[in-house]
Amino acid sequence: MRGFEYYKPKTVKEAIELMVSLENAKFIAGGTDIMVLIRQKKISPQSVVSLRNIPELAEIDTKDGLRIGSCVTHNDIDKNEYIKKYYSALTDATSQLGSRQIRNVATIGGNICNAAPSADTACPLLVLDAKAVIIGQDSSREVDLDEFFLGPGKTVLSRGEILKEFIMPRFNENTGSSYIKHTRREAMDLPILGVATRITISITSGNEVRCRDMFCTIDSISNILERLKDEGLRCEDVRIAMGVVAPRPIRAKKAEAALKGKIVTPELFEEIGEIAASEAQPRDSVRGEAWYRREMIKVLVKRSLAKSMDRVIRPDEAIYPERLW
Amino acid sequence: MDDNLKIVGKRVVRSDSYAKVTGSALYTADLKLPGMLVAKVLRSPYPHAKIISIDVSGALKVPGVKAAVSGFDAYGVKWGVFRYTQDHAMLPTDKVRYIGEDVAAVAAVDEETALEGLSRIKVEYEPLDAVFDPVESMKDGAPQIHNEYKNNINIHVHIDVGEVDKAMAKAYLVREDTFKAAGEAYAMMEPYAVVASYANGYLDLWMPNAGPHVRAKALSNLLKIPLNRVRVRHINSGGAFGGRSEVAPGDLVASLLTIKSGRPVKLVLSREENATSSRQVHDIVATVKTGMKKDGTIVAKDYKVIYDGGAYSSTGPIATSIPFYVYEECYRFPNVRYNGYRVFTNKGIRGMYGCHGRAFLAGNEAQMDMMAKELGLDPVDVRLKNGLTAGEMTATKSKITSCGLKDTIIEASEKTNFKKRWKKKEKNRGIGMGCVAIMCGFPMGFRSGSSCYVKINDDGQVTLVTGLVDNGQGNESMVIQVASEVLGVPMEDINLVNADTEVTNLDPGAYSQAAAYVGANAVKAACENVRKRLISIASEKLGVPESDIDLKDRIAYSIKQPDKRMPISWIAREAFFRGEPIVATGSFFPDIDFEREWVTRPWGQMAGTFSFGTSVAEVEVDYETGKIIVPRFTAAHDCGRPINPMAVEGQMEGSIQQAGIATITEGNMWYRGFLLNPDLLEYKVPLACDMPEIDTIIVSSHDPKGPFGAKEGGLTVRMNAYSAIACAFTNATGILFEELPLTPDKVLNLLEKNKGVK
Repeated sequence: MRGFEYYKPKTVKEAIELMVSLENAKFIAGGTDIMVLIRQKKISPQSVVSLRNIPELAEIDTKDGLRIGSCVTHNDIDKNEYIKKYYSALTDATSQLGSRQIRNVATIGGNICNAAPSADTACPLLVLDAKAVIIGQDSSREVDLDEFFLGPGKTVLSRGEILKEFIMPRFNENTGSSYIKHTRREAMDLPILGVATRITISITSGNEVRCRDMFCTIDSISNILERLKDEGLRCEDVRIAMGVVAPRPIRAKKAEAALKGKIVTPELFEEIGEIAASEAQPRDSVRGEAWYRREMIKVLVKRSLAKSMDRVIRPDEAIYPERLW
Repeated sequence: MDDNLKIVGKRVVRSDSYAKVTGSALYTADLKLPGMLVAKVLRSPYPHAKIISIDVSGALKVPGVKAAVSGFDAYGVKWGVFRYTQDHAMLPTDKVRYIGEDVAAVAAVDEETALEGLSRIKVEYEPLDAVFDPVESMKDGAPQIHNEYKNNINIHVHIDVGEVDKAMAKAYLVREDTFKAAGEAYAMMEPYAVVASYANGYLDLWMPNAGPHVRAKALSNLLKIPLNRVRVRHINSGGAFGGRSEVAPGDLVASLLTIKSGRPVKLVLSREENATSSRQVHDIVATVKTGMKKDGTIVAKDYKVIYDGGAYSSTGPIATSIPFYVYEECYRFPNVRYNGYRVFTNKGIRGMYGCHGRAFLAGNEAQMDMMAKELGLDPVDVRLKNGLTAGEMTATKSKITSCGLKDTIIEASEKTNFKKRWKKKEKNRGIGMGCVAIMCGFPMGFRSGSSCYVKINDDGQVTLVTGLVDNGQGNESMVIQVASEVLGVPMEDINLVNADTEVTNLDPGAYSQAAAYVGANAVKAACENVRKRLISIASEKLGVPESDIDLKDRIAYSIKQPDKRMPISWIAREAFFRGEPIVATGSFFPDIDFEREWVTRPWGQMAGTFSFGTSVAEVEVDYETGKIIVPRFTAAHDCGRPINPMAVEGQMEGSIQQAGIATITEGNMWYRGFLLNPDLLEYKVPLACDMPEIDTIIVSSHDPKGPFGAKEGGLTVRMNAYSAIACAFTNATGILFEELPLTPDKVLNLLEKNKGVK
């Protein structure tokens, strides 16, 4: 591994100025991606500018919706009860990323700026309608996360720009979200496939959902939905995002459109899974073959939607069985 | 004294635990010698290519590079464990045979300089056609990897006992299936490292190794240096699992570099190099044909097993045989034929593995359950019916002296309510059982025995000197415990000097399950000789007969008149005064048939004794994703008498991870000679959070010749845990596995292919 100069600016302004003045420089936050890339000789920066000493990048603000600074660590998000309750998909992702040691240093901004198709927080942020706040040398802008990724490792950030924070709106009461990371190990793994969903539902039958316990089963998802059919649950709003199925994390917009405004039925979910799969362009890799990924989209989109719905219906309980899902 | 043991059989804290948990234990990469250089190796980018030329002169021009070597600087000697397998030059000069093969190396003042040096080495290759699949490699016209081996068949082990075809024709039920398994990575915690230091004609080496004496012998041959000038020294080892039994190319590289530069050299492999260029595990294709009577009695077995041997012979004959032997040592086969082929391919060098042979063993066991089901029988009964018992001979004429197989089957099945759950299984769930036996020591000629030297120092403390090796499994602590029992001194009074080729005698090493049965027996024998001397002097001094004296808590005392006593240290001093210090040696040599040979004469007594074990796995299969979850795993192991039950349990638990859960996660992946998953992100070693609830059952069969009745501490689980998983999968789905690991995509494929099967 080659050596490099290391800088520790104290403010965003200072960091931007350094980045503009230095040749072949890289920002570093937690370093869990950058250091790996340097060791693999995929990049060899002469200078590395650390963002870890800039306090304003490490804040979480829950006053109006949610603002998360780019240098907030995964573990900080993990511990935040407010996020867990109202932005559950994000906690699903941060709690499963890498290992505890990695989560203690890896930042959400780093995860997104690395722009890997497998980035765990990308799908949750996509379904949570996150906007990225970008600060430049003498300007700032807000970008929908969906516009942020350009391709593997590529983002809209230009030299001298810093991703400051993410802003997410507050959602309607009957909203739940979830992220399912499909891996072969319980930790220290990258997803074969990641699916996040957010759904807002209303009960058209006018009553409370009668059978809240129907999720408490190891039944297949189609059986669970079969029993939910009579409840008249309508999807008011929905987001579906998928990771590792395309060069960048993507939204399954056709699937979203097909679900929005409809009464939830097993047949409809089946169809949504198929549509989502048709929106993906998965490829073969060491972690999984394309055909398997495509099959798993169908399963995981259904499961994630069910899990999100479960969080609306039973807000204080975790879906069972956690291990299978 | 066996029935009244003070320390053996107790759950003691291992002698090495404190240093390891506090991080003060040193490993090879921690060593720093004055003037030490850093070595880096240039590796082959081709799977198969002729070497036209290697020019290292450019490297030597880089300031700070102190030596650069290639195979042309070696002595033209090829290494092989057997006379007929000497084909591995370690640094080739004719051609490269796998991607990652060591081609040249430099030693420099630091890593950056060494890498700069490497980049200046010029190697001219002429790429050759390569072959990666052993079945393809056996065909006429396939690229020839070594000239000496026709059709690239490195080893053919042929065993034919009884009349297989006749018995098969008469069998009530016959079934033939083919099973595949990807080779695993050893994935030791410590990537390979070596420090070599040459001065005044003497070469000192430190490296994680399972057999320093075999290592030193190989290097002595390769370097043409007398054996007593090649000293392999003791150092902690971060795991071996079979992968550190043989000399490694890095040993030769570091030795040549230190000889050239006159300075100590350290070579530490990266995680990826450890995977591609230290050693790998054989991929296996096993065809298993079984004939059974209506009552479940196995009447015949017919096997064809192909082992992907990679580029060189390695422990070829042994690797080609072991899966068969551990199975025939477990069950009664009146008629059996085994054709094992180890075939060269253009892949990395392969060795033995603690979990070696999973396609063969899991295939046999899962097939047995399918046949039992067809006959309306139960896996427990079929295993009990066919399992060997003490006093019986195996098909290839090894006598079983002690045998707890039946107890392990019964205890494991009762604990898990196996019979009922196998028959009336819940949806998506399954339970399965795997059995195996393990030889405690391979026949290794004159290296099969061990010896020990013991001295009592003038303060009464003890020094043990033995060739015994510890790769992390606790062998060192085990022999200290044995010595403590015999000598009546606490474990902390004993200093062990071991695994150093210049001060210890030959020992089988820690890769054939011989440490307890052979190594500890030698320590026990030596300590008993010392004990006799201690008791003789104490008897004289205390004026009581020798038969009335016992040793305990550093004291020799009269059993009848306990106030007649004296410290052991006084006895030691008395002995020094007499000019006859208390020292003794002791040896143990197992009862093995040395006419036995792996290829030419595959019969006769294989080992002094055998251990037995039964594993039971419970699985849940997610039919939508193909994921398998193992909620619970039960293992019963007949280890003879456990010397330290806690250590035996630790070995069993580790085995459940490395052989059991790995059945779902672990396997090397290849693309035309490229190892696709050389790192620990893509090579999925199961983690603590992937582990099931574990139940370990120690079955004590008390071996008549083992030290205090001990045999070996847990390897059966390492060779039957995958069988249990495979059988549980079959029970859950009604389908036989085709290929391991049982990754979600493979499971989904199997389910799809067998839709409707129940």
